[in-house]
Amino acid sequence: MEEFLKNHIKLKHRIYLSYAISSLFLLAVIVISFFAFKSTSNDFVNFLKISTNSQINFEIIKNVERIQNQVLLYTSSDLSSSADKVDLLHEEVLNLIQNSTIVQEDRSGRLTPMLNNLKEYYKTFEELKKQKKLRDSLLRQIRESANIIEHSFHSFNRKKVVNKLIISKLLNDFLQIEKNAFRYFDTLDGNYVKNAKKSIKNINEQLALLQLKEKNPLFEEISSSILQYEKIFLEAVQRTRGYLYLVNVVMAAQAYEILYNADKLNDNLLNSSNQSKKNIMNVIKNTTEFLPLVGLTFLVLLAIFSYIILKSITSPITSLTETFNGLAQDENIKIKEYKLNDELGDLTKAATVFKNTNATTKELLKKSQTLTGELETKQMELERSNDELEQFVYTVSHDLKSPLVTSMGFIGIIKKLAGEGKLEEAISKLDKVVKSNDRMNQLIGDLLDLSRVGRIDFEKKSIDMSLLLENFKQTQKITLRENDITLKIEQNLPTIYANESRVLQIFENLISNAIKYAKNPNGTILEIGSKDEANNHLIFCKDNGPGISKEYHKKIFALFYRLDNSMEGTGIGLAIIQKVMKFHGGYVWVESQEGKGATFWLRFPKGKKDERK
Amino acid sequence: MSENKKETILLIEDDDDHAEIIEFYIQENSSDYDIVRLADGKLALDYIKELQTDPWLILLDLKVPKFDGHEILKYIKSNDTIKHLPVVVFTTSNSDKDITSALELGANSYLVKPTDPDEFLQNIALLLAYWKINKRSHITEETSR
Repeated sequence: MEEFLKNHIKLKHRIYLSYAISSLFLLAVIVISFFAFKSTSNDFVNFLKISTNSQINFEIIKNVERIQNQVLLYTSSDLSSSADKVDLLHEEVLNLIQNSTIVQEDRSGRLTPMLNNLKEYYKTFEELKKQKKLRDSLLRQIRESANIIEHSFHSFNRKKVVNKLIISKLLNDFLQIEKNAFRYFDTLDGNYVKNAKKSIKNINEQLALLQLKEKNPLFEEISSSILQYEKIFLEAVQRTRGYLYLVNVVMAAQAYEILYNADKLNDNLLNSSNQSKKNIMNVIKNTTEFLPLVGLTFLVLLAIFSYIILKSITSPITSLTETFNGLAQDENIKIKEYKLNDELGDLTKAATVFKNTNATTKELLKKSQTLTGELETKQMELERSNDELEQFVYTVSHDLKSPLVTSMGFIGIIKKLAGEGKLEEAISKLDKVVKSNDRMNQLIGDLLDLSRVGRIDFEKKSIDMSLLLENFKQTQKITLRENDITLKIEQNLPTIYANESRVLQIFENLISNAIKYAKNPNGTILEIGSKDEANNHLIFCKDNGPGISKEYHKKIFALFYRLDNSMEGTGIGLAIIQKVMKFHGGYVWVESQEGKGATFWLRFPKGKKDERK
Repeated sequence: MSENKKETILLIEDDDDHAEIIEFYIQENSSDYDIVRLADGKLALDYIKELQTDPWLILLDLKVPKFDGHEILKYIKSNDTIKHLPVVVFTTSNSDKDITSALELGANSYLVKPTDPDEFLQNIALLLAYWKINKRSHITEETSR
């Protein structure tokens, strides 16, 4: 993932990507939260509506019950205010139903029948009021009729009637009828009607008897009045029963219908309300469980994405920093590949350029150092060569002067002696002059020889040393015998690549030196042998002479240096050997201890040419 | 002067011929000197270290085997008991380096071989005269003590 980002998306875009991903996650959380709250709020609004409706419904139920109560009150107590209240309450209920949102929301179809029932109920109530008015007028008629009848009975008392007692009893009976009639209206008990009818029949029978007895038209009049009364009473009873029926059966049924519907409606509302409540609870539950989980998941995902993107940004930077640090420390480090052409890609390219420049600079520096080193070496060589030359000139002039001094000195002495007449003595000194001149000659000859090393006789070839030295031994036979020297030459000496005559000169000089300085009273023995080294041929010449003290090991190779001036020689032999060895790329040295003989070592480097052989 | 004991001249010279020539001229000029010749540096130093009587002059060749003339000069001039001895360096070298170093080490005179015998003798005579005055005062000092 990180690799993909590094390889395919530019640095700037990677940073944008990290912003985009963060924003996306934030947006997702916001959207989820929004819909969660939205759904809750819908359910809540619904719940509130239902609750309002439920309240209205209760109000309706309460009012319907009140209406019913007022109706009952009205029917039983004749209170006209109750009727007004019924009107008012009816209005209120109508308003409640019509203005409430329930009508639109009602899906159970309970409200329309309720409204219809209410209308029916109210119509019935209107009818009831009519019936009541009618009954009230009938009751008034009953009272009027009763007054007339009572008045008729009282008029009997003013006239001198036959039987006052009977009349009083009849009046009393009538009053009883009246009582029963009113009792009926009070209690609505049917027995009172029966009793009244019985009493009326009884009174009329008695009145009929009195008519027959006294023939008074008044009786007939009362009797018809009572019949009239009975007629009105029965009608009133009929009416009463009618409106009681209306109240107790029709209206009660209608009220019941309304209440039943209201109840059902209430049930529906309650169900809806419970549903809403359940929904809300579900949403709340889901939200409380889901949101933190989603939030947490997003947070983790965001962290992972951010980490990966951040890593894809920082890791190449870190790597580049390391690269530059490495380059700064002049290390020859490998620059990690970076594929894209973004800012970091440019930096990587810059690092490569930097590295190349560095390498070039380093190489140049190295070259310059090498050149400087070479120059210094050359200069040192030149200085050394100069010093050597100076030393050479100094030594040569000094040592050449020595025989000159001798020569001049003796010439002076000869002159003096000759002047004094000591001719014989003078002549004896001439030999000294000759000798010193000879010596001068020898010195100049040797010096010339030394100067020729490397200039003349420079051709090299492969030389079988065993063969060469065996021949050499033959040529030196006489010299060796005269000086009592035994020369032993080792078998299988190496083949070296060198100049033959110079190599021979080396051994001539070594033998000449041995004659002068390596004398052994019991017979001088010289051994020539070899030793193999990885890159060199080592050839040695060992004697059994008195040896050389360590302090002279280097001095003896110097020009004109002699360990013993009384010995013959110019002190150039070893200098020639040294120069010959130098010309062959090797060198010469001596190993010795006083009293234990000396060994001269010759080191010839192994060249390609003798490898070929 | 002839009644006096002969003065000693120390000749440090490796070349036999050179020694012979020097001895010839000195002896020919005056018979007052005994010449002690020492052929190499080692012999010379051993002799100087065990001096019984002061020599009147030391003639020193710089190029002698085993011990260099410079070392002998250095030994003489750094040793309190003998540093008053006159030393004439008599050598073939006329290089500035040798002359300067010898004089710096305390050589009383520097003569280059070959030299005119008269000049050589004059030089020695001058040194000897100077030396005698010095030595006398040196003796007087000792006796007055």
